Amino acid sequence: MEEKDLIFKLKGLNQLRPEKRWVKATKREILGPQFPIFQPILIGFLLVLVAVFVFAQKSLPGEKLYAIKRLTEKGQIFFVSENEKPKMDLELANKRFEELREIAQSNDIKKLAPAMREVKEVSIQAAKSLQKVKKPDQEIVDKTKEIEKNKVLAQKILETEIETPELNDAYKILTENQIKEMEKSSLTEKQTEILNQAKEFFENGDFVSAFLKVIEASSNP
Amino acid sequence: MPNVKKIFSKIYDKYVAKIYRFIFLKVNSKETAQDLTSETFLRGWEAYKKNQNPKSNPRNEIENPQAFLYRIAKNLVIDYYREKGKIQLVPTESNPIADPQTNLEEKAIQNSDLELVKKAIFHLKDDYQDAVIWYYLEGFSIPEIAKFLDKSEPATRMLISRAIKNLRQEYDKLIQKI
Repeated sequence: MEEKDLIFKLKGLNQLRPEKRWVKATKREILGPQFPIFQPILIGFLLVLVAVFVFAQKSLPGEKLYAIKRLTEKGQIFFVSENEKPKMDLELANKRFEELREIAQSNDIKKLAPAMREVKEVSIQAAKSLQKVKKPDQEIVDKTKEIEKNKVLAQKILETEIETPELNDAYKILTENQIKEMEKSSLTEKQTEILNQAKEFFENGDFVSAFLKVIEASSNP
Repeated sequence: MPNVKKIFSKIYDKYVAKIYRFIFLKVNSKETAQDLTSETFLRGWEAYKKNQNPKSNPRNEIENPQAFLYRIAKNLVIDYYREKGKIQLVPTESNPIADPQTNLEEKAIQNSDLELVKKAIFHLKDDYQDAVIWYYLEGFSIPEIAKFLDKSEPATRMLISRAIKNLRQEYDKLIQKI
């Protein structure tokens, strides 16, 4: 064979190449994972995501990011135990009343209707959870007080009654049970006095105040 | 540091096929070529990192990454044969005792021109292999090869000339065996 033919064939060995998969895997093994093009895009995307998430938490009903806020809350509920669920639902109910108060204060009429819808929705959920409570603890009492405070403020500004019948009924049942429980035990003079006040509220249909009084009576030796 | 990684990543992309080919033609085994190529770049990366840090290494030793990688690869191949006590012979898998009825296609592939050239290179001594691969296959200039081999240019020219003659002889021998 002529030398030039051999050289020609020799150049054909250029076809010898490592497998692409091996080349990639080895590079990753030596240099670690790399995202030369995607890294800045990925970081940018994550920053935007975090910014959207943070802004969403401050959004109010009727705003574009509000759906993200609600979705986050629903996600949080998913991870909460059955025991903690009533507290979480009351906390959310309180948030909705706060939002309603804020909207009422700023006189943003467009957001009023969605805010009322949200209040209604979470109140129903909170009422369902409250029905499962047998012995209310201090956290439930505190959250009830906060809800009541925000509700009263919102009503004052809006000059209208905010009706949450489901939540009212839940407090009615809970208070009724608490009164029965208290009546079974021996009470001090002071406790009897507070319990009577609770019963009075109850008869007048103010079940939240009645509830708070019963709890006061039980914790007042 | 990320910048150093980026630079070496480009070096890897540019030379991985050449280094793999260089090693493969010397060891005639895909797995061994992969292992040694991977080790070459790993050592190259370690040295490159050190070299980029002026505190740990004030002398800039890697002016020519290609020559540097070939040097590592060459040493690894030498170590491979030394450690394993291997003689650079065509492994049996390249010369299977084939059933003539069932392996006709395989035999045709093994005896194809490229395969014969590959085998002929494998039979050459180390310096001749380097000269043939670098000059004819990778297209390096004589001054470049002289630098790689640390020889004078006339000596390199002579080496290349002898290498191609030897390759031709090895090739002819293989042709006669068929």
